[in-house]
Amino acid sequence: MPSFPEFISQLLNGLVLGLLYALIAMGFMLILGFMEVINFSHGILFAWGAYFAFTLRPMIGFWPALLVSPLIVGIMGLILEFAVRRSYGKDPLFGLLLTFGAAMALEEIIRMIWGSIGYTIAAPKFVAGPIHFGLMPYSKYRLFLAGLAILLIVLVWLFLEKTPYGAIIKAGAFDSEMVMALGIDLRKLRTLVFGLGAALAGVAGVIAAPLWSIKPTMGVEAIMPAFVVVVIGGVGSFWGTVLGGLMVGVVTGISVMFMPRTSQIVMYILMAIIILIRPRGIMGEKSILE
Amino acid sequence: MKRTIVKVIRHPLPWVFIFFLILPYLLPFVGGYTYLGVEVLIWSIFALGFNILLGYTGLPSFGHGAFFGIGAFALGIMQLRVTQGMWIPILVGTFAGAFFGAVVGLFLAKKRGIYFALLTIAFSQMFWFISWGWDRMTGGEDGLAGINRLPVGIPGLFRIDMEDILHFYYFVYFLFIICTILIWIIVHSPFGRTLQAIRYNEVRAKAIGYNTPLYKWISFTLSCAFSGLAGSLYALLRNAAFSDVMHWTQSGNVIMMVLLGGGLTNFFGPILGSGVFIVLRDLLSTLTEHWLLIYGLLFMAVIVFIPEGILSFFKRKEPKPELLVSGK
Amino acid sequence: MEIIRTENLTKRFGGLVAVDHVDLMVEENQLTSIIGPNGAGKTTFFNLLSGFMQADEGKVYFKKRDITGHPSHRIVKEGIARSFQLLNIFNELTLFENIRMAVQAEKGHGLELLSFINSLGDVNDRSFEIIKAIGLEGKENTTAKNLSYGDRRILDIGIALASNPKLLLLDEPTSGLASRETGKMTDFIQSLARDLTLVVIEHDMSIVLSISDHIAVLHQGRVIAEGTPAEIQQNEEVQEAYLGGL
Repeated sequence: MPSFPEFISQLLNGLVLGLLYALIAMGFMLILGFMEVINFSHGILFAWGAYFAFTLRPMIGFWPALLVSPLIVGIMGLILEFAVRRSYGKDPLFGLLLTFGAAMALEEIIRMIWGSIGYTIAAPKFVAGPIHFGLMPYSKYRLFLAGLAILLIVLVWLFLEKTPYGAIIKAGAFDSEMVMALGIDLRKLRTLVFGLGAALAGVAGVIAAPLWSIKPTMGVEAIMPAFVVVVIGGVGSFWGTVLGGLMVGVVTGISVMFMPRTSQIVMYILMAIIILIRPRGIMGEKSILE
Repeated sequence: MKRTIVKVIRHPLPWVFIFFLILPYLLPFVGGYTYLGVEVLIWSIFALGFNILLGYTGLPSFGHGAFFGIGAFALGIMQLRVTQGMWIPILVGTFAGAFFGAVVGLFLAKKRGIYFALLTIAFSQMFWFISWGWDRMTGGEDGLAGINRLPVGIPGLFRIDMEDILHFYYFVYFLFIICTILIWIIVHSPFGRTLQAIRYNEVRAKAIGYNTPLYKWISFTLSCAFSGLAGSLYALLRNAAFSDVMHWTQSGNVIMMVLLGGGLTNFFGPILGSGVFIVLRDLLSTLTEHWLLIYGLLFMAVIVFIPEGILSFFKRKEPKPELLVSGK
Repeated sequence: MEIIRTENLTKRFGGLVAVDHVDLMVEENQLTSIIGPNGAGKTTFFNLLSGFMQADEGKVYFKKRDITGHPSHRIVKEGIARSFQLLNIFNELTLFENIRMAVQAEKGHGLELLSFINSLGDVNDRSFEIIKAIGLEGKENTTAKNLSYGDRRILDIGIALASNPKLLLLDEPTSGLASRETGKMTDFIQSLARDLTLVVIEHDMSIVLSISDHIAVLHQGRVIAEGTPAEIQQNEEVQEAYLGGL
């Protein structure tokens, strides 16, 4: 049985993890909700973000790397979109398979450049080490990560709520009157959203890098929770993604405390339970995606 | 009698069977070997069964690798812990695939499209983690080694040793014939037609009286049974069951085989696709150690340029209604 | 003799009440038309009757039996079939196969995995019968999407017919038809009315007035008037709702 400070500490870990999962799932959800594409390469783009951070940080420092890595990954997303756009409107399998192939290729390129062994990267000095809340120490970096994740999620929210692009994305690709009235080129918007989704994956990779070991298979560790979060939260729902991410994180964190061997599969059990009770996810609505 | 012979000759099935009958003797001429032939047969069973779900019912499962793996592990666990045999472990492997398919299918039966695909991925990942973590049963990272191909036969009559790869080839070939005929009957049955109706217009299918979730569930379970069978045969082939059989790439591979071969519009597509896939994989891996890169790009190219696959040029042909009236 | 009756039938979508406490009774062997402005709730009403949507309140009685909440595939078996406003056929199948799918269901062969479909003589024979009855003989092998729009509309109804219903719900059967084809469709509907009970949603008032035994007028989810064609023509509330369309 964990002691009270241990319990709180693990719970916080779960929340921090949940925020990270929500951030990862956010980019995935944008692409899924707006273009109806299951972007299987989302995980590997997350990995690329981490690898870029690993390579660039020693060269240019933490903050520049935090800005540059997502930018490069975002551009990778833009390029990827050129291939993926052929699958718009078709059977969802096509987009999924396209991005599946891309994921394989991108993972192999990582192996070619960086090899297959894992790397670790330390937290940046200014947030390294523990911070003490009375008797309880807690990782400064985790708090920093949580703060960054919240900031980024808020930025996405602002984008969706306060910009005309966001209005269109929320309305889905089908309200053509609104699109024409706002004078926005849907094709360019789709490319942008794909790049944005990729960039979000990339930035999540950068900030997760000091916590997770950097290896070619880390993409899978990011994409699978993203699937689960989106199913639990409801496809196409912003708050569903946030809520789903937190739930998955907390449930995983708790299981690490009490049943560590099941910690990797609890999120699937949670998902199964939720779709039995609410088949479309917590905040999902009947969508075209069914 | 003569008309029957003509009908049989015109039918593609016998030719496919004859081809695979002589394949082991053809392979050495193209630089192949019998082991590859067995792989093609096993993947064909996997892909044909999978196509019941994908090509005929129109449901995009991206997690069937899990059921393939379940079959492999079920066979391994049976053989290593319960009974040293061939038929019972294979049966158990098949049944295990069907059983877990039936359970997962309950969650999926009322879904379709992207939601369906997402759920299949999640469930398959869950099974993967279980196989990785439950090392007392599955051997975890190391998997289950020491799976044996035991002699097959009728006690008192004959015994054929299966260690010889050629013998094992024909054993699998025998099962391949049974599976192919069975799947052929299923997809051409009233049930099979209903699956297609669901693929084309599930709403109307409901409106004319079909309890579509039930049909989808049965289709899913059947496809998982064949996956389980293929998986157990694969474990016998490799004399081991590693969790890589459950890896998400396996799910992508079987879809690739179906699509590449044209399984969406032709019954034999999955078989052709399996052959092409195995050949490609073998060729590519000898070219470079980073063949996954080429494979991934090739994967994308196929989806972009020939999504309907090679055999889409030979779309399914059904007998015309007039023939039904005049000359049954 | 009542064939179908709704009691207090209600359906809401969020804040919108699409079907508002509707009490409607349909007589057997009559042709009842349901008319009303767009958005009046007519198609939603059909969806409730045919099991495509679940009512929030109220009940539906078919031949005096409570069928509220039954799913669509069960309601078809009980004897209610429908056609669709937006064409809803199996475009990739041939005309014959379209009809056959419905006949196969009706005869209960759906779950046969191990018989060959072509050997189901009763299914094939009945399919030919129906194709003849709907006047599309000779086009059996045409893929549905290649049929003319008018033929496809007839096919949509034919599929519903193949389910051997006692009650047939037709949702805007003349929608999109050219005036030439409309006559054909109207004759077809009247021929159906000889043996079946029909409920038809229709916009074209001249058709409604000529074919209906009974008319119900829906407006904002409520039945605002019911009666014979003559009575409805003279009803002022109806005239208002239609803004002078009569």
